[in-house]
Amino acid sequence: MTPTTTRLLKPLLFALALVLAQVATNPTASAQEGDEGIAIDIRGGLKRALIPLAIPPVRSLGGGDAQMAAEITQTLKRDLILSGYFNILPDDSFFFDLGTDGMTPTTINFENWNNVGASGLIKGGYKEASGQVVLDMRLFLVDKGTQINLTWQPKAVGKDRLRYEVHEFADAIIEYYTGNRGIFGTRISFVARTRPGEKHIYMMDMDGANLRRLTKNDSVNLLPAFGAGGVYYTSYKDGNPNLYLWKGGSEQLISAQPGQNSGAAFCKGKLAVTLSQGGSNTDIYLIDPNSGAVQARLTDHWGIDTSPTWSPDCSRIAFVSDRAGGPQIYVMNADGSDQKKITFQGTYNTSPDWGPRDNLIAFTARDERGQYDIFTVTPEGRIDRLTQNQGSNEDPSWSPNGRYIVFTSTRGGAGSRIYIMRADGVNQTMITETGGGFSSPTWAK
Amino acid sequence: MPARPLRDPNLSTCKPLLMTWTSSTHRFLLLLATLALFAFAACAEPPTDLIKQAEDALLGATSVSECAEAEYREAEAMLNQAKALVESGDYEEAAVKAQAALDLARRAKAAGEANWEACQKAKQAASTDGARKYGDVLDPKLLKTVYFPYNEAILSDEAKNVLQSNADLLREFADSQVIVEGHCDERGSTEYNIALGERRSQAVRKYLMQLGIDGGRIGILSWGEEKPADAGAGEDALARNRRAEFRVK
Repeated sequence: MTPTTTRLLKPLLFALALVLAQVATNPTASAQEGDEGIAIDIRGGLKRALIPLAIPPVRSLGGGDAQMAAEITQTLKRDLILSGYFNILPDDSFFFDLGTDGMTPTTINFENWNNVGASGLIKGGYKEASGQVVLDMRLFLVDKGTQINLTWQPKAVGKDRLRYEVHEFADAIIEYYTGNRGIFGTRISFVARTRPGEKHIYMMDMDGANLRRLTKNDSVNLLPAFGAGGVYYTSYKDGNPNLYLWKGGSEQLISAQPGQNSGAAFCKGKLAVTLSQGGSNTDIYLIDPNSGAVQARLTDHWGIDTSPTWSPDCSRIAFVSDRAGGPQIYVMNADGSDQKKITFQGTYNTSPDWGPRDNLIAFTARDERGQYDIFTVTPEGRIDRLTQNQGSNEDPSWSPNGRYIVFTSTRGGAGSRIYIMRADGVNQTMITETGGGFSSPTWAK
Repeated sequence: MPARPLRDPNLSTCKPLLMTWTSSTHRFLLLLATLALFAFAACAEPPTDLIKQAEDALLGATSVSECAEAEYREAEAMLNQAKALVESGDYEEAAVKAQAALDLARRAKAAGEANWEACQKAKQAASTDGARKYGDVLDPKLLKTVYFPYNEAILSDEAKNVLQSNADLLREFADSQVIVEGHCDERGSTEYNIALGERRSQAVRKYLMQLGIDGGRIGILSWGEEKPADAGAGEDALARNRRAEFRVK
């Protein structure tokens, strides 16, 4: 064997070992027969090996401190792990002296990096002066010994924006390797139970940072949805489930019809909601996004019609209806015409979210054992299953680029917590570090 | 031959007629006359003794009469009939009735004593009921919760029974207004459960209106799965959460 072959073989073997380890913790890729009467295929992680990346600690190029260094490195590593494409090599596997290793192709000893199994190498530095930070982050391909020209360029940002700058760099890394920008720095809103009978709306970055609570009452607050520059939600604070908008730090009442005012879905200036008009019938309406005035009634079947979600071009709406017995997923045009059922297996299909790509509608399905799992369905009725045998999984919401789904899972036995996975079900990772009792995560699109 | 009495030989109030003899013909005629007399006449004396006994027995039953009302009244009626018959001179019938009155009075006393405890409790409850009737506010704890099967908003027979007694209370407290709050167990979609909870409270309201309660007195509110009555995860706990509860406004 030539030295070159040996050099390539080691990282490949290493990668294969990682893949096998990954399979042990991910849903299996075998076809499942009979759960819903049809064969369901779970696409697993065998097709793509994780790319081994080395990210040695970033160094100061003037100013800054250890805390800044740690924040940069940790944010970057977490983003790339969450993306599900990479294996980040542990620091203690770098057995050589990092101090003499440079930041340019001529000053980096690529053979060392090859020997530890890295395929990609990220080197970074930071310079801080008067509250402004400039990041200098670079990606190298180890086998070629070259630096990659990324869509991200170093620029000065305020210290408080440092995390977001790292997120943008991570997005650019993803773009290089996959052809699509990442989702780092995007926001997720969700509900957490703070004590029995009290739930609140929270907002956080998709990596779990910058967590803050939006609602300021002692009541039940539910079903957040991004739109109109803020977050819509339903609150019982006035003794009835009314619809509010949190925007610019303050709360605005949007709809207080008697009965249900919930499940706001916003699309380019249109707001769809569920109203029950005092309990006479539960249906989907279009209302004014600011005044809440009813503009159109889209459904009027005597069954429960609820949970609207818009297609990306705002021309169609998927929703839940129990007009055929148990709740199922339906699709209609944005004016309420042409309503048709698109799920035909199982007796309880709810919580649809229409994704930005390929017309995939993620939803929650209850199986015959009473467990809940995430599936996708197209308007033509093609079904795929994304979770299985991992507790109960509910409330899916797509990332803005349609490549990830955030959802809740009870796996692990500590109550319901928030997870992210790739759109093919791979790399299901918990993003809420502590606590439980989370529900209704929604990703700002 | 002595004439034989035509009734119960135990009755001592009626003495047999003295026979005088004469000739056999006279005797025969006298016999006929006696028989005729017996056929048509009553005893010569009223059954005073028997009536007194019956009266005493009835008096003895008075103290427990409220716990054996039916029997007591029957005895009383029978005694009155006996007395009336004495007035009208039908001593024979009077005696029969008096005896029956005595038996009934004794029976009433025995029944009253046996029933005493249970009957006193019922009286107590009835008297406090009576107190509530007079302008008090309807205690919401009296309005019972109804329960529902999984994923359904239909009223079972048991639920309907509960609602019938709730309706009785609402009729009694005709000024009261209530809110029916519908709930679901924790499983499934948050939003769908708000709708299902509302269906449950709506079903209750509609049934109460069928029973004649004015719909304007009944508000509805759904809490979905947000306010469980039982925080447990087993089937029993879940069943306790699928409910419609009453709140008094």
